[in-house]
Amino acid sequence: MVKLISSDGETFSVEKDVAERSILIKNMIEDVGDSSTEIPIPNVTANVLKKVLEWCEHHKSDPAPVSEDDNDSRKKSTDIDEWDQKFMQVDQEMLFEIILAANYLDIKALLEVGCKTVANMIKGKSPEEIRRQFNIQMDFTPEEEAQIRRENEWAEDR
Amino acid sequence: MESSTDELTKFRSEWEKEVQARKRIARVVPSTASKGKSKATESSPAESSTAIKDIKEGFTAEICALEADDLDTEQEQNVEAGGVTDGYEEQLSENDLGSSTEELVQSITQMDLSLELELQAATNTSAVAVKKPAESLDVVRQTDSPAAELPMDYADISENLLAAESGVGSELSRAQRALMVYELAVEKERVGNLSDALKFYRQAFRLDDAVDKLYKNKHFPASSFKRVPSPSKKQATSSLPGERPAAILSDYSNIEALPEDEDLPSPLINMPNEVTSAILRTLALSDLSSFTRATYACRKLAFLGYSDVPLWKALCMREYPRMHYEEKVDEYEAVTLWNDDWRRMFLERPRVQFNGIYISTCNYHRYGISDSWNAPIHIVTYYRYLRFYADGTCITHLTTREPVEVVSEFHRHLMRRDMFRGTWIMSMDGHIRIESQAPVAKYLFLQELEIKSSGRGRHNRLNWVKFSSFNRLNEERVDFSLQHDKPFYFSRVLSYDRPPKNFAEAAVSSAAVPPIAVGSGASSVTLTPSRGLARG
Repeated sequence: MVKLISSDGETFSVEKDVAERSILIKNMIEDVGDSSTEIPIPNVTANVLKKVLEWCEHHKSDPAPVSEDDNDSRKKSTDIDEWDQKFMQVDQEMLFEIILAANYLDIKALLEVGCKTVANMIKGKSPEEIRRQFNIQMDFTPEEEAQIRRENEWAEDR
Repeated sequence: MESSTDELTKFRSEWEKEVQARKRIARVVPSTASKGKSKATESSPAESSTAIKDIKEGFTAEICALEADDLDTEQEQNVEAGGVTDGYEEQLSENDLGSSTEELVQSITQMDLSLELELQAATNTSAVAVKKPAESLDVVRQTDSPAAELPMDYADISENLLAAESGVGSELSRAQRALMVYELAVEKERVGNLSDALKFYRQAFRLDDAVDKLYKNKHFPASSFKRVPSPSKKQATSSLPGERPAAILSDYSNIEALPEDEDLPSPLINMPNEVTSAILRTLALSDLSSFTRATYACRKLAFLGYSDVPLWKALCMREYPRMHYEEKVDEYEAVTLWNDDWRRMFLERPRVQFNGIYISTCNYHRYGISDSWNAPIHIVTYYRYLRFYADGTCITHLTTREPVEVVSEFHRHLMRRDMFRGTWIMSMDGHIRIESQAPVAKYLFLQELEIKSSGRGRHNRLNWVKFSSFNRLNEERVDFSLQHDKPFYFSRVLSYDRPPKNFAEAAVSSAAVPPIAVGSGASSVTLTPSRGLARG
């Protein structure tokens, strides 16, 4: 068992192979050489860490990802498996917290699911709708906007 | 408001059907009208996108009409008028789409004239029925009789339909009817069928000579033309195509985006850049046009999107290795030709697109013979269809059938007898050579095409270079004249993204529900009505 301590001081005990879904934690355990020490996770709060560990638990026996890079460019689908879809049904703030944590803890597959989820939220929306959904201020000058739109006409196929 | 648009689509679908029934009959239009208009429509094949929603309704109407050639069933149909579509969908899911479509097309094209007239009679009544609420059914039946005694002239038939409609208690003014016919004409023009388009335009103007203004007010109201301030000369020159995209932003040293509402969280723009970039990358690989719209949201997203090398590299590495080149191409070497700028390469290096169909709409006219002083001109419209597959094969099809009919079933798993398989190969500079079967086995067709863009980065046009036949027995090669052949234009077809193994399923659902939005690579106005002949 590995002990993880969240930024707000809560302790989580998890199996080693669950914790090692995170490359960061895996490397730390290897460095320390002793899996019984407590590992602080200073960037992740307890409620987020709990969610992340829930994901790791469910995916603990997934095969290790094959080497990424070029391989990664071929998948274009934003299909998400059913369990992950349910798992990601959280409010926007939590969703981004999970993505941040996955990025920090270096859990590629979870980061990917998070990106896909956000990508699906953006898909098919107009710039105005995207701004509204994510609370973004429009900060282009009219000239910039006109120019950027002209530069990218080719990609607006619908 | 909503019910009237409903009515409109139904009305259109009825027209679709009539037109299909008449498809192979020579089209006659007075020469004076054709001259001016065909010129004006020259650009329309470029916009040969199709509102696929209508496919479904077109089919619906066809099947209903086929069933209704027995007059006895008409009354039943009147009663069910509201539920016609539902009924059809049920029926469709029970049938195999492939064979039913095949039968349908055959029966329509082989229909003799009397049957055709009967079909039109059915059309007229069902069109009326669809528009009327159930309580006015009695009146509808009365109108059956004039509609059934069909005059020979096609235009008269449609006027009859309109007359019948107004007789029932006209909710539709003459102007509204004119507008409907006009919209139908625009529709026809958009798929390149100039002959039918002309016919309907003429009809619309006969009903109301200001119909073009009505149309303009409805679809292009003055408010829809927002004045986009034109960028100053200095900025325009500062971002010539091919320059670093970041240069578009006049000041990109500070790309921190701000929330619209300070009190609410706006996590997307507060993520570390690497995470936001990862999201944009995922989005771009799955749907490029959504990605592009996202970059219009704010400066930060634009900057991250256009400057993210892995994103453009990933797009290139997804597309270009799928091309079939005469000589093997090393992508990392290729990109040096574009100064190692993956985005520029993606925009400028020709490529074949697989998620849609290439359509070449061809019109030609010939003079007909007439005793009277105005000699008729026949406008003949036909289409060449071409779809590429990443495995190096392709299918070609030459037909008079319109895109709405063809596109959804254009798949190598559903080959018709007059569709032919071929193989394609290309060069780095976008020269494609296609070798395909011909209707006679001893021949091969050899097509040479060139990938071009109408507007930078689109890669949506195939220009003809050469077209010839090859006799396998004596190895003789004969070039065809390319006189009537127009370039192919690419149209995106969403249903082609689905994996082929689900195709049977997909085909059924694509006919029953309308998910096959066809976007045109050629034009950004595809979902709005064609500007084409809409004058003023």
